[in-house]
Amino acid sequence: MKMKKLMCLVLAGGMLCGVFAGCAKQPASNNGKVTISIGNWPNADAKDYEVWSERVKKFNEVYPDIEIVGDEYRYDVSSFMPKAEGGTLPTVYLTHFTEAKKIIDGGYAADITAQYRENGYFEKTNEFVLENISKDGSVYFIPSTMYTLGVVANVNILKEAGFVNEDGSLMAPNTFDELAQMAQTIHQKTGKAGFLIPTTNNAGGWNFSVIGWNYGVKFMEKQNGKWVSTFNSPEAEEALQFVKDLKWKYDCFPGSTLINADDAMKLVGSGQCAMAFAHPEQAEWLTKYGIDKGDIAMLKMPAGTKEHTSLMGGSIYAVRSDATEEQKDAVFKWLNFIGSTPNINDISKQNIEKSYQNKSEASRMVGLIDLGVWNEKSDYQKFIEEMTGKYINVPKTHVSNYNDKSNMSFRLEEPVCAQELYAVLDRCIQEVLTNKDANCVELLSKAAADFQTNCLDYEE
Amino acid sequence: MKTVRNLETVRKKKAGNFTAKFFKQELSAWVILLPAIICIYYVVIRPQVFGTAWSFYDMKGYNLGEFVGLENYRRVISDSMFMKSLINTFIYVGLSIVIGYMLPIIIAIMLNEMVHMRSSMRLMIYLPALMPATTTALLWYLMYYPDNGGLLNMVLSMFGKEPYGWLQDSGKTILYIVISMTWNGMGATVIYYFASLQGVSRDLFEAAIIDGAGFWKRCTTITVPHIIPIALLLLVRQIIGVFSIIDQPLQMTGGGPNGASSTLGLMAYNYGFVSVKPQFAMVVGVIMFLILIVFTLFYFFLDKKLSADI
Repeated sequence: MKMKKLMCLVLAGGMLCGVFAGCAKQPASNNGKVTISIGNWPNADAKDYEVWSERVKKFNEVYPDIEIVGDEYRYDVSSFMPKAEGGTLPTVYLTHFTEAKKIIDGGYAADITAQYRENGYFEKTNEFVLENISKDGSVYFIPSTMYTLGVVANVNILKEAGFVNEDGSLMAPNTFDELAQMAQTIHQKTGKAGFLIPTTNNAGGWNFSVIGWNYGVKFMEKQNGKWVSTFNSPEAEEALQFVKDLKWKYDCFPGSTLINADDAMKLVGSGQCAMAFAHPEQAEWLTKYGIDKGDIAMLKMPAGTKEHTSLMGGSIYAVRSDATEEQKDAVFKWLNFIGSTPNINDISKQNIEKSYQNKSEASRMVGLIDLGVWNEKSDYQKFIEEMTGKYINVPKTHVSNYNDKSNMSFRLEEPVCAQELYAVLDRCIQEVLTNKDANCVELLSKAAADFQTNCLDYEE
Repeated sequence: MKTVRNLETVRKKKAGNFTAKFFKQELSAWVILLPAIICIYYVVIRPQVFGTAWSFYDMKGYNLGEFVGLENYRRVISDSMFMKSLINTFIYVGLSIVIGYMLPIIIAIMLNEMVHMRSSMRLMIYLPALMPATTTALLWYLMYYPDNGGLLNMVLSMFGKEPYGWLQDSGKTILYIVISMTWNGMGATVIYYFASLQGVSRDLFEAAIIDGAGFWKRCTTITVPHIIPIALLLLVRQIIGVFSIIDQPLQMTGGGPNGASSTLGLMAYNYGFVSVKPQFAMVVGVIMFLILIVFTLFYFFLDKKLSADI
């Protein structure tokens, strides 16, 4: 009986230990060393793992007082809040420009103004980037990369439909009308869908905002200190009619019109649809669905009736809010070392080149060039373009249209309530794609009113 | 005076006995339960209590701001999607009861009456329940795929019919989602009913047969009265389960088309993780909790009444 009770106590004790095991806090220092954990660390089975481990060794030769701990956490909308609240975020994690406001407001990023200044980043950061990584004069993020939204295409389908010239160059659509006609021809010639935009989980609204800008839509304006929803307009009607026509006039949309962003890439990558809006990282996902990287093309965003513009976004590093000053300094040292910095030197150049070499060897797409986060006072962008040219592993003809950024402008997403805007636009797009008789004017009128009362009325 | 002292002694003795008895007999049980109690406190009770309290505060991320009273409730209820999602949620519950409540009972009774191949049939019926909800949603999404590639449209085309939009038919989206949920969840429910029926003494059935009772008579006099308590429990479980539905609409339709399949659970998810307004997600959670409390009280009332009648 005594033995039984003892066993019970041991078991219960064990279970209690299990309950509290997850509550341990990451130490800021270890044996006098400053410890920082780095997010987006490759999995132990990944090809990059050895490379990153090697980097740590070399880093520790220069900085023996800093201990680097890899953390495989990758930013994800669903898991971010629980991780942040549970105190289990890595010391430095990569996130998106679009999440900056949310993270600052939530207090999940440390103020790194002092380190940003000490390392001489201020004068080398592009003005529009600086605006988006800071609030009230304090800097909260370190910019990493930028992208612009374009059109990803399955070259095999374009070939089948006759949109590839003999020299391998692609016939890229210059306007949205050309895009629709091209998509229609593709459908007629191949039986496959010509073009799609995702329509769920706010991805539809996100894509539609770009179409809207090109048709001259203003989604919101500040009037007398108050935000006002302004997309109940003829321009927005024209843009929504364009989306409706893709389905009912040009008949180039896939069968299912309830598509999320992942599905969209899957349809293009698996050869069921020829084109979709995408940024370079999304274009790379296509290879998961069987297509060779050499058969993927990126084209620039076509122009609308009023403008030729596209959305820009990118990734930024955040340091968790409870990081010590020593940890913040260590993070900057690490980023400078790996080359994610405007202050490139021989060591960071070697690391950047190594990462391009690995990317190329790992059969990831190299060849797309995007806007730089650092201005001309830094040599970073020049070096990146040099490395892209050196290690390009896709046909130049498949990326040249996207890489040409001339004669068009780029914008960041709408300033407030962006997700709420995308949600109401998602519903408009879903309606016009599933209901042939949908009335664009009525839909936009209701959406604009909903957006105003659900969100903008509460914004300052 | 002596009597009072004696009473005091008896009380002390009783209290002493209770403590000794507690330590002797119940301590091990409480020690073993302790980790579970801690988990339940942190995972169920604490979030519910704090969630309710925080729904009255403004929040930045998960950091508590000012007390705003009922302002969060006013904003959520005035959200153009709230009423639509609330009504949709009730439609989900209603349809799931119409389609998914009686079916497992009927199948369990049929299984119970079967003499041959009972085990194989039981296994076949239970198999879909082994699939995770996500896999089921994906499977049915492909079956409902609206062009000729969708399995159901392939069947339609065999009869010379045009492809149908299935999940894109906003008037029937919820119905199709409920069918997929029923397919997934039915097996487990059948097993509950079947296990309950297995508890009925065979002698009762044999006696009823000797008395000339047919299948219908046996059902109404033996089977149904026996499964009423578990049927009631499973009804409440089903209502609670379906009322909190998120997975299926999130994965199959994203709440569309045009909000046609949106639910309160999905709304809370979007508030909490997409818009990052956890205070609103908590408001939706509290509203769902209050509605479910009504169902649960109704269950207790009905259970008590039926127990008294039986």
